Amino acid sequence: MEETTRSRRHVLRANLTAYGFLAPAGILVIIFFLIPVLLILYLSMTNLATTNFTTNVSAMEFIGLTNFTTLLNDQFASKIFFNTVFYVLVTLAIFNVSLALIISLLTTHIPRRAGFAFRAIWILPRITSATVYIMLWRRLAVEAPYGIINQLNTLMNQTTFNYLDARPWEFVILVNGFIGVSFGMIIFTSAIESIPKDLMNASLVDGSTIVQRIRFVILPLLRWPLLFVVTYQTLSLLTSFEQILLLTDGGPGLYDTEVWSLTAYHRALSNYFGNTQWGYGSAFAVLLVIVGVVLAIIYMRVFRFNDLVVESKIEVL
Amino acid sequence: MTAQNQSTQNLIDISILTTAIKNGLIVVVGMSVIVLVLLGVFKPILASVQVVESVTTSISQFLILIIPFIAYIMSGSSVRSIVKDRPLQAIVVSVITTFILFAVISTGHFILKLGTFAPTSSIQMTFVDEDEGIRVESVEAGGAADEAGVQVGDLIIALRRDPIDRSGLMAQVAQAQVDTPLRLRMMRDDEEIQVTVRTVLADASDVAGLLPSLVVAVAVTLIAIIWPAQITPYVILLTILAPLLLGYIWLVIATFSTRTEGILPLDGQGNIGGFTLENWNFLWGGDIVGLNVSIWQITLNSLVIALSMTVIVLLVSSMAGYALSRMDFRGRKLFLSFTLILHGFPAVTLLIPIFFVIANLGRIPIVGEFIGFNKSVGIALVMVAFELPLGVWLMKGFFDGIPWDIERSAMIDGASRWRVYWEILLPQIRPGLLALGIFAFLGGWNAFLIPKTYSTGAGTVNLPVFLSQLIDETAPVNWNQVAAVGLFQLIPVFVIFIFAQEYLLNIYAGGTKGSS
Repeated sequence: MEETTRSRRHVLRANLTAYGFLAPAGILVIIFFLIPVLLILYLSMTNLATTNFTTNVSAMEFIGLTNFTTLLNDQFASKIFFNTVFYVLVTLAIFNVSLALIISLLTTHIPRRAGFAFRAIWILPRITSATVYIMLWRRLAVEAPYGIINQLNTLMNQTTFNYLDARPWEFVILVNGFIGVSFGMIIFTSAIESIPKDLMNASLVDGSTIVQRIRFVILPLLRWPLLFVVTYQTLSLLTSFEQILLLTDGGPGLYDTEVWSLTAYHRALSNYFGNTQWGYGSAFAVLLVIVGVVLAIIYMRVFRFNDLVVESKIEVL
Repeated sequence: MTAQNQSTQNLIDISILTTAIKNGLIVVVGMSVIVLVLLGVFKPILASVQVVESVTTSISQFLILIIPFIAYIMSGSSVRSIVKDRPLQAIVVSVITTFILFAVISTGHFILKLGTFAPTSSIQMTFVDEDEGIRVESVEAGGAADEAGVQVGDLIIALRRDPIDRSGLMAQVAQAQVDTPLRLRMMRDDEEIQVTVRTVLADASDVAGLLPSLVVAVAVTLIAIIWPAQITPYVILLTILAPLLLGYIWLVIATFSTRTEGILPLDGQGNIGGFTLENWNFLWGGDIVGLNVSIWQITLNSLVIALSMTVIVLLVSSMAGYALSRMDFRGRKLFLSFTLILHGFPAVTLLIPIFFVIANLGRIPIVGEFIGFNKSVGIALVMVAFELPLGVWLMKGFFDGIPWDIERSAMIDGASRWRVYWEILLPQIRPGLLALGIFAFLGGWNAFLIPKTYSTGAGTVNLPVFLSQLIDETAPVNWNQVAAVGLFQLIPVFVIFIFAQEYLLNIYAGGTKGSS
């Protein structure tokens, strides 16, 4: 009897210490993840806009699913939806997967140090502030005589034009693609480097060509990393809009390069018409939140579940 | 051995020849199919769902441009295996292959009206350079020039008001859109007249234009045979990186020159040169594009955000990571799986509700002074929260990798959990702290979206937000000064990049919060 109360008290104390260590993280997660997720569900069912703006949640007017029916009938929503599908698929296919794979194959093919240097350069877009990064791309794209691409065009006697007006999607995809490459590149590189040397040597002895080695040795072993990169980067591309906001802001024509996440931002937080529609914008964002939660749960199940099973090092002493 | 001897006796090894042709044709057919799918399937589908894009066309044009080169390179590299033993045969085989491929590609171009056969902007007349101007040599009956009234023997002296020569006129015509009016000043019978010719899109049937391409084709194939294979990866890697490198090179050049055209620094007279340090005057109180702002106040804001973020992320993540790695408590599995879900979850979708959370936090007495709307620490806290799932997960991993003998004996001696964490474990995971610290610092230093969204006044403007304001400035701005501010913002990033590449490469595979 004495024994069990002591150990119970012991367990309780251990629990409390652990919760103490977890408290700061827990509080931040509650304030900035849990509450916002619930709040956006509620916001998307209110008609909060500039005219009836309030930060007092209980004073907001509940209108049920009206925002979602409006969204379904919005003449631009379908264009924006397909813009998003187009943007995500093309960027993913060309840059985040194909180019990442090509670069990791090339950089593992050349001497180690050189390969490392090339991979390091690909990190630069990711660690450069979006504003500076976009400034560089604008310089590449602007009219002659200032634009760098147009300077080449002039040299080769070609027509010059403002690329951001004439080729907006190309640049939106390039700008995001150049950031996205590094993620797949790092994952693929470590996968390629972990391929057993014996396997490579065996294929070399068999006299296989480089193409054959890629096709029959490397690619089959990359199936899992490929799946990981595709799923993870789909979600990133779907929800990130910082670069598009700075580069074209959805233009140059009406909603030409507008994507779903940018629409949510425009509607609720930065409207050109000075009429912010918090409720309606939230309806756009909620759909992304739902996709995000569902995919995140799937990732956890598919990719990292084994790590979870690792037991803690020190059990109750 | 005997087989090889036999084949040396023949001038052409048929099997090598067929392989070379086959490889080239596979490229041509395969890439053509991609172009057809892009233009025939994707483009109509995208148009039907109202996506306004030219990406499919751009990619197709690019592919059409490179198909021949890739084909010649493929066929050229097919004979590389015999080039050492039988160089003459290799050349003969590759030249024959090139001719065959060239014929196939040109036929394709002819049928599909591409390449040399692509319809080009034209004024349907021929002309030659003379001392006084351009002499019209022939005029196509019923063509654009004929309709405008140009006659054989006319002497063109100027286009609009500018004197022009043959190559200049040809360039103008080639660059013109369809139906562009070109006002030509001409001398006819010693009288100056003006004729306006409108450009038309005409089929080129210039078979002579094929010859240069054939020469190029053979040259490419031969280069592919003798090309040193070791440098191919470097060439490809550098080519892909070119736009990025050009951008950064421009940034550095621009900050030290009065103005730039493309990548070239120019002085006032338009000559290359014009080195100046004036763009950096903002560092000691000079105006930035006419705005009198203190760069150091803005830098301080950036630093406050970045440093407070680094400290809080490190402390909070390592505490949680320690608990998850070393303790057993009710709800551990739940917390772990929750961290993982959050790690995958795109926090940036929560920008809208967090606005209301911050606005309401600002109402709390005392605490609200620091973390409400428009406060640097509040902004930092949002970003801390966004990076926590990665941080906690990373820290747990580092703690897991440390043996627990020392810690255990310390605890048996009666040390508290906190002391063990602070004095024994933290020093051991220094590499992990450094990696996460760099990640958090860069995140805070580069932060744009969150400071922009949650702050309005000048009090919290950080460098990226300030830069975006300069760029959006409607008045004409001195771009080289803006570039200098940009490079100024990049300095810490470059320093970290140079000294911590290894850490960066490791950590950016672990998490890509809020960015693609």
